[in-house]
Amino acid sequence: MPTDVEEYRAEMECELKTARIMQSEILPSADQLRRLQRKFGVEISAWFEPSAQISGDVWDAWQVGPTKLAICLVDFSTHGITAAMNTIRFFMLIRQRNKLMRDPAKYVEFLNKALCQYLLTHQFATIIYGILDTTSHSFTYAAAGSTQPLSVRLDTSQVSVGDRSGLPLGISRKATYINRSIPFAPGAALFLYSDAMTESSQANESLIGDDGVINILKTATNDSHENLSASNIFQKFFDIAVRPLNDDLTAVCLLRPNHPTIQ
Amino acid sequence: MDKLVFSDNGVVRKIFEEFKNSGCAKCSINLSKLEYIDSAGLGLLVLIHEAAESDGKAAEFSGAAGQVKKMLEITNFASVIKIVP
Repeated sequence: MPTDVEEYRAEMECELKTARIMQSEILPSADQLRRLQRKFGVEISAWFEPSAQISGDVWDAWQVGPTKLAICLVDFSTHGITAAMNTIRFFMLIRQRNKLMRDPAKYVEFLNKALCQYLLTHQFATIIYGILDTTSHSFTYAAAGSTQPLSVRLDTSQVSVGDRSGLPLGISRKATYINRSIPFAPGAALFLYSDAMTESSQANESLIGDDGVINILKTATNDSHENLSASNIFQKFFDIAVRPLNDDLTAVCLLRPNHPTIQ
Repeated sequence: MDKLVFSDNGVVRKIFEEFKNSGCAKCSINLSKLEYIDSAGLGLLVLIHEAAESDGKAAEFSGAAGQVKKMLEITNFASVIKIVP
């Protein structure tokens, strides 16, 4: 048992450090991403930055068919230990693969019903879950109060913006969701991100907002073209965002080169 | 209050306690002065709604504008809590 406040604090910090390592291990590994890249010809890069030691965000990517790659990014309300514990619950849920995963809207409904059982009244999660189909060249997704998904052409930096409205998960078992699509052909990148990006402040205290994120993506694409990655995007983001961030920051960038290497 | 975020948990509970003890059957919460709400703040609105309902009362939220209105629209909260102009 700790004998004083300092000892207790040191013990807590050690526990949180361990929890952070455990949480980072549920995220897709470099090997997993390389396998998906070889299979689908999609380069996947990510940014994961908890505002405290541990995060209330989590993301994952996995195969759901010969030409279909599933991507999920979830953001639990609040952050810190409670939200982080919810990410572990969520991770256990999505690692149980099921047939509904092929239909984003139905799968999000399934996740919602499950979270309605687990979460307390004021807790909920925003999510975007979708499937990249390398034959139809589209990203079909269901959203529940997430940020808007962005698709950018690597040659022109033209951005397509997806709708993201929907009741967050864990509030009402009756909630229904719809499938939406945005284009995602070779020569484009898809960018998914948590609301820490839009809700971060700039030096003049204004929020970056939806338009700010679109501008960051355009600028990063203009500079990087086929080398676009989450790191390039966040270099631009931190040129204007004020640290420390108040929320957990997570983002995934999927890039389809014009001439991918596919196994 | 110009912001509603998780750290306002105590304030929200106090508002509800006042509502509960007032004997009123309906509570209208004016959000027009609120400039910013985050996801945890939205959760607090649900908390008020659920607490009112479980106490046999009704809560409605009015006057949302700007970022607050946008957040309520994105999250489709009108399907869960009563939102009026």
